[in-house]
Amino acid sequence: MKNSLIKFTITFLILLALCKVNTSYAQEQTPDPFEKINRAVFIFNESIDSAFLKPIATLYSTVPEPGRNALRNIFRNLESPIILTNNILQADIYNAQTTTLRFLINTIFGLGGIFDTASKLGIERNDTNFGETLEKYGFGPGFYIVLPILGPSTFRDAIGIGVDQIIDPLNITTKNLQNNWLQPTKTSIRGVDFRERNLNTIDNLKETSLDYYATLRSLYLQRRKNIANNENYDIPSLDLDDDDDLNEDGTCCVYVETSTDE
Amino acid sequence: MKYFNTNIFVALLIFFLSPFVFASLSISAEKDEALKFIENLGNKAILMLSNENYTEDQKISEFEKLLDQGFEVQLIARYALGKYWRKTPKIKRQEYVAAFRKFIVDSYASRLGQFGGEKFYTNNVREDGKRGFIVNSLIETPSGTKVKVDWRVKKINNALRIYDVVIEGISMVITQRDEFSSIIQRSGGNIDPLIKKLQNF
Repeated sequence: MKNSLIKFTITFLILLALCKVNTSYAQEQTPDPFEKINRAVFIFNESIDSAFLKPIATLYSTVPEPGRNALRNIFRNLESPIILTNNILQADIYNAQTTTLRFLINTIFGLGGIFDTASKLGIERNDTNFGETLEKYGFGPGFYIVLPILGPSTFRDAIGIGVDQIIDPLNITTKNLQNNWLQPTKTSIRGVDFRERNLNTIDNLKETSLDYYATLRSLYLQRRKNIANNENYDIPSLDLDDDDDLNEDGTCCVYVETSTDE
Repeated sequence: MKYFNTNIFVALLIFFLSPFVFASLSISAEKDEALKFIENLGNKAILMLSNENYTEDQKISEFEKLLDQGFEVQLIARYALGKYWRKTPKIKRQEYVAAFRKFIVDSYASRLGQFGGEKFYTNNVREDGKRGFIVNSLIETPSGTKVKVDWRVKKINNALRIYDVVIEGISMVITQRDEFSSIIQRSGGNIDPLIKKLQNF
């Protein structure tokens, strides 16, 4: 036991050091050096999605909304200790207070988390994870990675997912049980819930993408950047390296030739 | 100092300051114009989408009208090609732009029926680089979800045009560019497979 813990710590530190080396990438684009493997995993995930996740999510969408919300609230409430731990690790006192208050209110007055009473009182949920904690400590994303079943991530955030599992009290308390079903159930329900809420969006995206893998990678990395900026995102710069190609009036090349509607 | 007549002084002051005053006045007028432009276009779009008298085909042709009125499709196409634009010969560019426009229309055409009942609010505008503005807006879906949508607009040939739409911080141009460059890279730097994909969409 002790031995494996030491092994884990050493591996963990080495991996983190790798991320740190890659910090310079963070400003630019997150690279995808293992695209071939990622695309293979992506195809695997897609087949899991069309065989199981999507049909289940479609079936689940027939459950009346209050029921779906209740289930979602319960599992969100159970995530509070992970969020709180990361709030503290990020020295985010305000959100640590909010998370604690929300957990207490929703557990007691929300009947074990069925109702999100705290949000109704104006105490909004803040969501964070160990990947974001690592980011606050200055670790770069490393590289883009597609995790089996879990989907798009970065090297740093994948480590974060692992650490979040370890610090999850739900995991710790159920560790000694013979059949530890709680954790997989939680992950599956969160997955089905997410898929159900995005049934149309994902279908549309798939239909209108010429390269679905590349589109999803772009969306994930853009979204991740916004989360890092606390949603106060700057409108991304288009970084036109060849803006000099534009004419004085802002038009470009082809336009001048074909434009007749002045 | 007595030679320095106050009236002359004031006149000089006005003379030297006026460019700044007029510049800032004209910028705020342009800002207003950009805000009105998006407001106008958004309201037109919402009216069109919720009009139940339109057939599918009518909706599509109305959509194309709005697209050409409001969006600089050629510039969007050019940005979406990123660094490959420069490497593409002029004739190929035209072929690509035409394919891109068709792709945009086709990919939205099938989804127009999904919309209706949205509310649209513009709330702010700020300068963005040369000749450009960013207009912030909010779209409220019938279920009450609020979506932040930012519009990048620019004066082109004296008319305001949209060249990027940023939804909750996700830029359509950047997403498209990432996708297109992935396709081109995987085709060994050749743009033809992309054009074919756009045409056959």
